[in-house]
Amino acid sequence: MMDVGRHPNIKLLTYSEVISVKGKPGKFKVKVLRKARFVDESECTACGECAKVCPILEPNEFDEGLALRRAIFSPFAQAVPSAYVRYADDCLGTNPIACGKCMDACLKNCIDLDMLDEIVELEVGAVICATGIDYYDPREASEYGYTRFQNVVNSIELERVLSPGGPSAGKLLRFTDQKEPQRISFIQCVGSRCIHRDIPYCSRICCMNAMKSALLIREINPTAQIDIFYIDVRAFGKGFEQFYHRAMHEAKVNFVKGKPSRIEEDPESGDLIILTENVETGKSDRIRTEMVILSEALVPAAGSHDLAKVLGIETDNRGFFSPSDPCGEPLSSTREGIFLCGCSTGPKDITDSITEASGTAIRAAQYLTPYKLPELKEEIPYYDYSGPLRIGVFVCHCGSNIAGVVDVQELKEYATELGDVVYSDDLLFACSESTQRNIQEKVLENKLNRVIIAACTPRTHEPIFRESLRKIGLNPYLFEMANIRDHCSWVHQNDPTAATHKAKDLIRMAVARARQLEPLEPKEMEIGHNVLVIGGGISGLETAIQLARRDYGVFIVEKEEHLGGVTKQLHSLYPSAKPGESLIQEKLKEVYERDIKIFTQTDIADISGYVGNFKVTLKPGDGQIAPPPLEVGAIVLATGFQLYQPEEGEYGFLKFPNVITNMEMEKWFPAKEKPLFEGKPVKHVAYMQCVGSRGEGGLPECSRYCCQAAIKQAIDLRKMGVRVTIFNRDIRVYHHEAETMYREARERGVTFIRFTPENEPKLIGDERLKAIQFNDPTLKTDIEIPVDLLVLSLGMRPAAKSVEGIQKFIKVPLGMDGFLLEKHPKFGSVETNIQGVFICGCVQGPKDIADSIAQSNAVAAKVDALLSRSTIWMEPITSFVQEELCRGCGTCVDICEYGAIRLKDSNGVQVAEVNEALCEGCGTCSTYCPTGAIDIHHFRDKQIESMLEAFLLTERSA
Amino acid sequence: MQYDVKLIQETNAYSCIECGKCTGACPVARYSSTFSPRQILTGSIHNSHPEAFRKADLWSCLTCKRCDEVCPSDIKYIDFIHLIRQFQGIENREGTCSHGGILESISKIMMAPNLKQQRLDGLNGNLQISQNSEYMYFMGCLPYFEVLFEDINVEAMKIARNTIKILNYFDIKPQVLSDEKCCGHDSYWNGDIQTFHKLGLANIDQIKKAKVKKIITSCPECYRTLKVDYPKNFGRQEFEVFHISEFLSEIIADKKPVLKSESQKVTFQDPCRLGRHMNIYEQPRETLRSISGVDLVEMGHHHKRSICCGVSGWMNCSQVSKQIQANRLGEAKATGADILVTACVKCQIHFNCALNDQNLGKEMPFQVKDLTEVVGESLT
Amino acid sequence: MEKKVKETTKQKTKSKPQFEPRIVVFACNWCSYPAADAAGINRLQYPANVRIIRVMCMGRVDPGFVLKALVMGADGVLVSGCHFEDCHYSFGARKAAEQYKKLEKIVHMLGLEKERIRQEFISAAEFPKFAKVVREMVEQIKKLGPSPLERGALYKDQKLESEIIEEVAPVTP
Repeated sequence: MMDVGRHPNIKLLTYSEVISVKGKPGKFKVKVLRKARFVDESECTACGECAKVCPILEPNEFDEGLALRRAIFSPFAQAVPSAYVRYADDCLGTNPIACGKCMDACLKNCIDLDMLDEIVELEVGAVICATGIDYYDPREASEYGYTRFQNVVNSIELERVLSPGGPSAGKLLRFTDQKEPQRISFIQCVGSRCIHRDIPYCSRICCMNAMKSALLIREINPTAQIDIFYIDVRAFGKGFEQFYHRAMHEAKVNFVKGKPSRIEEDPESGDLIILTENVETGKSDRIRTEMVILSEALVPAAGSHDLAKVLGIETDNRGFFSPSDPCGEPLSSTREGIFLCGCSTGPKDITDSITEASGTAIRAAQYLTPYKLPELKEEIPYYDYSGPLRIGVFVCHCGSNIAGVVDVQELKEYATELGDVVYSDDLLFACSESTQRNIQEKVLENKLNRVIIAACTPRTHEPIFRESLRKIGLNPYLFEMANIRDHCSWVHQNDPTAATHKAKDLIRMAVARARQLEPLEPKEMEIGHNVLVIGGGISGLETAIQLARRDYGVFIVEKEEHLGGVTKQLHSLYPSAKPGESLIQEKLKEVYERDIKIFTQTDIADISGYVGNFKVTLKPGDGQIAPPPLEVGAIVLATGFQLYQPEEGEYGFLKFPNVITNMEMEKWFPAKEKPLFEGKPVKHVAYMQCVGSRGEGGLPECSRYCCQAAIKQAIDLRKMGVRVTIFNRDIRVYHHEAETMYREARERGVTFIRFTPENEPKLIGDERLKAIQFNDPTLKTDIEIPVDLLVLSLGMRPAAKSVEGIQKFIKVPLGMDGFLLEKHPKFGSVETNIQGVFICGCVQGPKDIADSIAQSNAVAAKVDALLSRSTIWMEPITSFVQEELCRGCGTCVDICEYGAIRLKDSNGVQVAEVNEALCEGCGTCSTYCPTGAIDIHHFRDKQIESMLEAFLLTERSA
Repeated sequence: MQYDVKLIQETNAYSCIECGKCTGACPVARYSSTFSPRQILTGSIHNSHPEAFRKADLWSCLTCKRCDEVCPSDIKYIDFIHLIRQFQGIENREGTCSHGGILESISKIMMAPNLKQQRLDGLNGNLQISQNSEYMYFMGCLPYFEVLFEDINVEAMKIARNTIKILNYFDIKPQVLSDEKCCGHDSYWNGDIQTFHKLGLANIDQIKKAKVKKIITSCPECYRTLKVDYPKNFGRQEFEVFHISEFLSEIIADKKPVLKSESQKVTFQDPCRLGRHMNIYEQPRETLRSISGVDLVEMGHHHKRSICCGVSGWMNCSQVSKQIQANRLGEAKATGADILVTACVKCQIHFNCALNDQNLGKEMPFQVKDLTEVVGESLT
Repeated sequence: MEKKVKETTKQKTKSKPQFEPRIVVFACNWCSYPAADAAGINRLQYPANVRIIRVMCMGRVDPGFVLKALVMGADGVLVSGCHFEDCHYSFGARKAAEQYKKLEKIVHMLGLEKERIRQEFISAAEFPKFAKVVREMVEQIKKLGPSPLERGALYKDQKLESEIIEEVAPVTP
């Protein structure tokens, strides 16, 4: 939010609604209704004085009504914009009862009770809908007694309750008696997967969310029993299966298959009785529990229908916006130039939402300017920061966030006593715009050459302060923060004396470090504007197209003879039933039109260089001439996956001729009108799910695609009149259309039989597979069904060979599952830890086609963001070698996994040399250097040691 | 500390005739264009401005005593360096501690009076030590080196085990202090006289309590410090100090034990502290010669002209150190020896570090071993 | 004279209300520092005995820093970074663990209590763990009492040292 709030190219219009969109893609005219917030956004410092005097108390929407707010308020501490807002309906106003207390309280006079709604007209190239979701109201599922029984809460309420900053400060207490519950039961699919509640789809996030909450509860209460009642556990994302295992085995969460039919309350104790059938044992139970959490469904955001009308786009019958093609174009709406992401098209978790959001960014960008942005020229005045130390210390009140606990006046005075400190001041809000100007003036006035701001965390605010110092010509690396809020006033609220003492230490340490700081200059580097995509499957093609549309030169390298990868072999794609071949043909057509250079039957011989300037040598197949090395600014790895290769005999694989894989089945389809296998009619087909997926301890993980793929085939088989049985461990159809498909399969008579790894179905037959025997837990007997053909649904595994091939040149780390590791599971799922190297599609983890396409768009957006300038600035926090101390032992060379250090010859001796473009600045090399020759800019030995000294030894006088 | 002219005078520093012979002999100056013992000296005494000797070079001097040997004015240069560093004080030093200052911190932590070290874990069961012998084995910092230099293939505790094995062979079950402190050698030479004093007094106290008459060291630095610097700073001591090579040459001459090894060519590195500082050149050589099968050959520079291993006091290890080492290892290679024998663990560490360099390591066909290891292996 | 000094120092320690340990925390920029921030955002309370020093990666924390902190009289040192698999630099945390093993051996050998140093892997999301670890560590160190190297006494104790030097008359060999 902070990033959005302060980005120069983003204008935030909050508390606003779109009322009309006219015009054509590239030139839309949008009318926006800006509701009056009655507070001047640019002036408000969020000091909170107005809320203090407001006499009105209303339930706080952010805390789900579990806490109160005023009529003029900020919904939560980190709200962006931070400016307060006044709800006119709640406010007493000035008429007929004269209140207006807030106006008197506001020292900056930024409250204007006469502010009117206004209509803003915007001209935009494209529109992105990221309107999110709402929660299903569990009162409709009246059998669970939500609001009738106080101890039944919904998941979002639980979220607030468990938040240590929430209404109960992180304590989980029952609402009836304020006692800590000793048994907590989650009920899944409240509303979801239920036709008569008009929510036929899976809400996708609730399984993992319930597990996460269960783990949090386990942390605060090690003994409570925690149950999760579920229909299927849908842990289908990267890392989810392992998380599921943690919940089961570490947190001892009791998973019960079965959706309760009813909850009753014991009025005396407030306990709740859950009536349910345990589907695994077949017993019906009355379970007494102390608290119930309802995992309520996600439903389209209120007003989606109206918005769809305004935008002129279609929705599905539930109110989610419809993509133009759910498989091939998941991010485009039915109107050109309007794009969809996140939960606006159906429930999604954060990772998938962020991926889609990035993806829409590249689509929108295609309607704006070509990629080259105009170079901004700015005039930075000269400021002389050399000379003897002149340190300035600014202490921030952060409203009462700091000043309410720590004695800011005392800190300010204390700072002046420290050596080299020539100026100190206290500020109400150091980050507010007017204060920033004030700081700039004070720096110039007092000729400060080191600046310390004692306020909040440098993680969010360092860039802001650095920027304002840079603007007046002070080197931004001569700035230091003391975190006296997040690490002090907030965490020692009950001990103001100790907090003040600690804050003094922190300031003293910051001053000591500031004395040792050195000015650093970011380096500007020219970058190339070509992109190499490795892998010509659906992900690679989509990425290439999106980038080519932005005028980048794109190369695709594919080791096979043809482009199209696995998708090309698919007989049909769900949910559109379009053949895979035709999707690939569509994409290929554009690939050829856009003059994307393709190298098939080609491998990578070498990759050298660094972000913006990679040099790639290709190794063509036999008989081809090697092309000249490619010079590219970025590399996208889209080398896909390989299917699990079952061992001989595993589920009869290679032992029985009538046991085949799901890919073989896919190829079997197109030619056959009648179900024949080896010339004989097939009457009964069985599917074995999770072959090579969902292993012990959660590794390998769920392969995500196989349930939907098996169901798709099963429906086709049923259409031919074949009996189909799907042996499964959970049906994990998570896409909101896929649930409909699952329902259709059931309606068409596909049999689903669930098993556990302890109780696997047995194969019967000598030469050929004849039947499958399984144990029915409810009937408690073994049942045998005749089978003509068994299809193994194979899991997705990392393509070990191509991954190895790439790792020879680029050290992208592997995750525990063997897939390439992304930079961050949520916020950086297409980036790697090497700048300029990106990943998308199944090389990152199992995915279906729609997800791969969304990710390909996301990767294109990230590449675009990197390469849209002619140069990039390199962070100067890198390691450097003091050559005279270097003995050329090469320890650092071996340590650095970025390959940023090499040995060079210097006057006949070997010394280490750091390639600043490759160095990420972690500093591990410095730790390993025997002589102390390698050090890290901005985190130098002496800088760290000076802080230790300042803390532990008494302050040295100047 | 105050710059004390009287103390400086005692080192003869003022008699410098500015001939520059020291610089010519200095191993550091050979590879560093800026380093000159003479310039440091003249800069420090003529220019009382502190900046004159604040340069990092002051901390690059190895105090190897080569200059003392050649000086026509008989200047005690290393004592002079010790004094200047002391005046300069560790707080103002511009030198860089090698290994992140770990070794310096270790010796400082040892000053804490109420800490009981756990340093004897590396001594295995076959070795015999006692509580009442008149001999004491002063082990030095070997247990710490064992941990820190494992990855460059230095098994420092092997030296301790072999030393005790040798002593046991001659029916001596030495005392070993379970809370022995660092002797203070590095602190002393780096000018941290306060740490030296604390460590020294703590050791002397323990040694007195142990009632030993003879102390044997396997480390030339401990040897010099205990034998020379302790009496100089803390008054005459009741105990005698021997380096293991001294002890060996005497007892071998006396008891004539049978020492055998497979036939091998060895060459000997004179540690500065043993050779030039303490004038012990022949004892280790005699010891080596007494082992049948050992053929002792000399490197290009030996005895008084021997070359230092490149680093002293864990300060300012650098390119220059590496070049000194590479050169010295080259001399060893030229002898055709199978083993480069040293009598100092630090020489072993520094040479091994240089050999850890893949290129240099490949070129050098010999192993580096401590004298005690060679002797220990030859015991029958 | 000496006795008197001892007495006054004793009184001083007596009059101190309670021993408040001083603990240095090295936290990496990507996991543990943000975890500490999040502990703040969520108002998790922990004792005010720690001072956090930010480094880019746990791999930057030279064992030398930890020993220096101990020499300077820190009662405890916590080194905290990402879990191996989350490490922003992928290998830094692993390398830090390698270095830490050495450090542990040295600290043990020196006779310091092993509880005085601690290595933890705390992700940005695990802010309750951060608060918990700090609480535990403060409690543990309170039980152990002040560091034997209290208040950097060994680092700079000019007066004491000069007394010793005077005591010993130089001996001419």
